[in-house]
Amino acid sequence: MVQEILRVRDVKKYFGGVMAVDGASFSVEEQTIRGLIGANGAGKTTLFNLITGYYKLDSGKIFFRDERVDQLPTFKKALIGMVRTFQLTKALSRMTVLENLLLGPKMQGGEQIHNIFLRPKKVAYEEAIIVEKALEILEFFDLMHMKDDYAGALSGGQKRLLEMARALMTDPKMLLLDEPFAGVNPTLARKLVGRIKELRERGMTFLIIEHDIPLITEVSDTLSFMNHGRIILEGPPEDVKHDPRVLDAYLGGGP
Amino acid sequence: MIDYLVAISIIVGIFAIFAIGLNLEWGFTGLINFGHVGFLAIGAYTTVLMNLSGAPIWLSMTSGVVLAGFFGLLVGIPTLRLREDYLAIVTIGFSEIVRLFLLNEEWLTRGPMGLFGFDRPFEAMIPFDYNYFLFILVFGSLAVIYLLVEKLVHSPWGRVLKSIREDEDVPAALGKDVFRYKIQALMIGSAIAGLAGAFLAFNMQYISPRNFIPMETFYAWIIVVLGGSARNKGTILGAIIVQSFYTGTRYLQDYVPLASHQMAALRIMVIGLLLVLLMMYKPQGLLGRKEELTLGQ
Ligand SMILES: Nc1ncnc2c1ncn2[C@@H]1O[C@H](COP(=O)(O)OP(=O)(O)OP(=O)(O)O)[C@@H](O)[C@H]1O
Ligand SMILES: [Mg+2]
Repeated sequence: MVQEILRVRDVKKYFGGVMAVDGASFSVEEQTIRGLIGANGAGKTTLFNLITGYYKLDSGKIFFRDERVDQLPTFKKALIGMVRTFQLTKALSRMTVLENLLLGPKMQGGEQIHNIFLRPKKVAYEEAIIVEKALEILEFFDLMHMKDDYAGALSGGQKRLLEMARALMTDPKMLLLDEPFAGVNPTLARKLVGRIKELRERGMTFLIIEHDIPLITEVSDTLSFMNHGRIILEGPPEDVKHDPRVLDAYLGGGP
Repeated sequence: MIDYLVAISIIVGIFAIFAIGLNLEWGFTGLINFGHVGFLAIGAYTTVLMNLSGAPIWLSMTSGVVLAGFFGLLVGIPTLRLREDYLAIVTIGFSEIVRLFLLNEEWLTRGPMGLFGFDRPFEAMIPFDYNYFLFILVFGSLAVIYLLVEKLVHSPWGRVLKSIREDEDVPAALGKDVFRYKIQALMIGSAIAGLAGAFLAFNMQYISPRNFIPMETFYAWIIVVLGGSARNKGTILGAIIVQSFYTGTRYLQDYVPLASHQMAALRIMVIGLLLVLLMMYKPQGLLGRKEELTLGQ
């Protein structure tokens, strides 16, 4: 029996007169990869911001593993396993690439002041494990040679990789990726697709916004199409991408 | 001569402690506190008032530190959930409220007349010039504060503070309770200012609301920026330079035909000029890292 991990019900968000998200509903099953496509301005990023708590909903409900989460602050959603990346990458510029990753793991003992002074050994031990894990991820993302550089010195594509690497450090149950492949070289993008599928096998769920149709078709189990703030189509990637409404949005240049 | 150097060094030490508190808030966490002097005042007045009403000096001093930290919490709770500019506005108002309270509540503080006649730690037991002891006490405390803050900022806790300074959306996305960390940084920074306040009182043996004008906050900012923000060593260096300059120009007073208020204005103009030059030639501060300036977001 497939278990739903995320359920979004009739979610709305207005900015002044703009209906950015206008009654979007959809569900994501556990341990699947869901692609989310739609024209520029369709409301995809806004939907991410609503799901992860950066914006408050005007109406609607969001459930994560059957628990209602639309009132939870962002950090609590991350703690229960829902982690996102940003379309406009947010490298922590004046921190090193390695430090960016070390920030990732949740509930580190050394993030509490009393532990730093009372349990220095435990903190150091934990840190060593985190560093090891970070180095492994950096290696995979081809960022090892930059580990001691300031993150602000990375190229656009590298910052995108850093976003995903940092999010993976948290061991999320569900990862929401906002255009993870934009600006990433094709070879590495393929490698990332492989990694995402591998992580799915190990139990992770993905919701991925992406404009690169061949890539998103390749990686997703199911594809959702968003138009004017609603999810209007959902199904196997091959079917969705050939639907006239999708072709129209991507090739016709709007209604 | 030695006595004079010791006297100046004590002031340098006090300002270094005061500014390290601000550096934790601004340099590491990115919090804009324009009312740092308010916490200095709370530390100084609490220490003095408690001692004058009979409490032992060590207990009074500890209370000053704790109360300054507690006021950090009170100021932080309503403001730190909002975007950063609110903290700047509220803290500047807060420090003025503190000063006006001290000025007007004469039943408690004797207002503009100020307070004196309080104890200083171990004063009765020191067989030599008390200033030598105060020098040791201040620099011992500075060393401890420096080491503690360094330990904190190089820990995972400090890593979260830096991430908040860079972009608080990121730590939030990774499950960090940003608000809690900001409150902690503000409380610790304020408690450190409170400690500096107690030492200020011991050094002057007299305190009045005049000692806690907004200009003191800006001296702390100048020290932090001059030294290079997020560099505690730079902050100490900044304190040495600013204080030497301040004292040096007072010396000059005897040789230039200017009234003291004119001299004070001139001093601020020169500091302004020095800051402009610093921004032109070494914008990262004396011990700051140049690479950091060229980084995009
Ligand atoms: N903070 C905001 N304030 C005002 N309007 C906003 C805001 N965020 C998004 N919008 C508007 O909401 C609509 C949807 O934007 P959104 O960023 O969600 O689109 P998107 O589907 O992610 O597009 P893209 O593929 O270009 O990233 C747009 O019309 C945008 O202008
Ligand atoms: Mg978008």
